[in-house]
Amino acid sequence: MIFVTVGTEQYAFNRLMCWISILMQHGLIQEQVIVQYGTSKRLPTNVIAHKTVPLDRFSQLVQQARLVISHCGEGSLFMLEEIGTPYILVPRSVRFQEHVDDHQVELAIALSSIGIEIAWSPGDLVRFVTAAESRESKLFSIASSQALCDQLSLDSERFFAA
Amino acid sequence: MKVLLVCSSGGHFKALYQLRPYWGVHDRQWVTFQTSVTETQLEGENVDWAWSPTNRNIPNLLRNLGLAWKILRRDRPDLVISTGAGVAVPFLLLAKLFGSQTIFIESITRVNDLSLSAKLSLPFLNVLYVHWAELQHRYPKATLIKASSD
Repeated sequence: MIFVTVGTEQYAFNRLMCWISILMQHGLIQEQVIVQYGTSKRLPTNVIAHKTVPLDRFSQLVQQARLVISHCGEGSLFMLEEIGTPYILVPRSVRFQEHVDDHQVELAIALSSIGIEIAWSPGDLVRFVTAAESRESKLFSIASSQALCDQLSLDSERFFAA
Repeated sequence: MKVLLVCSSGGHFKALYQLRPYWGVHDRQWVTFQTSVTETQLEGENVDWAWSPTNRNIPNLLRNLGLAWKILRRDRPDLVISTGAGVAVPFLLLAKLFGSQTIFIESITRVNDLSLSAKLSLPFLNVLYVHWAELQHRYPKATLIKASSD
C-alpha cells in the first residue's frame, strides 16, 4: 500500500494529486493507494480517499504503508522520520498557490543535500516507486540529535570549566 | 550542573526531548505546555506547565514572564536550553539577567532565516545552534550542527 498525504494546510495540493493519477493511469503504481487530500479538488480515481486523518490513524497508515509520498511539512516529516517507512517529499510551491511562501521548497533543497528523497517532478516519483524495495529511510534526526548532544556537552563543559 | 529545559509542545518538545542522552545525566527542570504527549513523556520529571498559546498572545507572554521569574529565582539554573518557540523568549531574557548561561537550538526546518523566537532571544544567548550552512552564513556567530547522514 502507498500512503499519500498533504498534511493539514488550508491550501489544495492538486498538483500532487495529478501526479498520482498519472502514475496510476500508466500502471506505474498498481498497488492500493490511500490518499489524505485535505482541500485538494482533483482526486485520483480508484484510491481510498480521506479529507483528514486523525493523528493515531495517520501513524498507523504510515506504519502499514510500503511507501509514503508526503508534502514537505514539518509535522509529517517528523512523523516519517520517527516511523522509518521509506518516504519521498513533494514540496508545496507558492507559484501554484499551494502555500503562503516557499519554505517547503527551501526545506526540500536543504534536505536533498543530506540525502532525503525529494520529488520535483512525476519522474522522481516514478524512480522512487519502482526502485523502492532497495530503499532504506535515512534518519537524519538521529544523526543531528547525536551531534547536538556532543556539542551541548562540549559547550556546557566550556561554560563551567573551573 | 542544574539545567532548565524550556520549549513549546509539538515539534519543539520532540526536538528537546530527543536530546535525552545529554540532559538525562544532569539535574534538570522542565517547562513546557501541558498536552497528552508531554504529560506522558515527562512522567517522573520535574515539570512546570507554561501558559499557551504564545503566538502573538500578549497576556500569555506576561504570564510566562512571571512564571519565568518565579522559576529562575527558585531554581537558579546554571544553564537554560530551549528549542523554541514563543515560550522561550521570556525565559531566556530573564535567565540572562539571573546570570544563567543560555542556549537556543533552532528548528531543523529553518534553512534561510531564523524563527521569530530565535531572533527575539538572540541578544540574550550565549550560544545559538543552527542546522544548515545557509543559516550559519547569515548568522556567523551561530554554531553549525551538521546533520549529515554519512
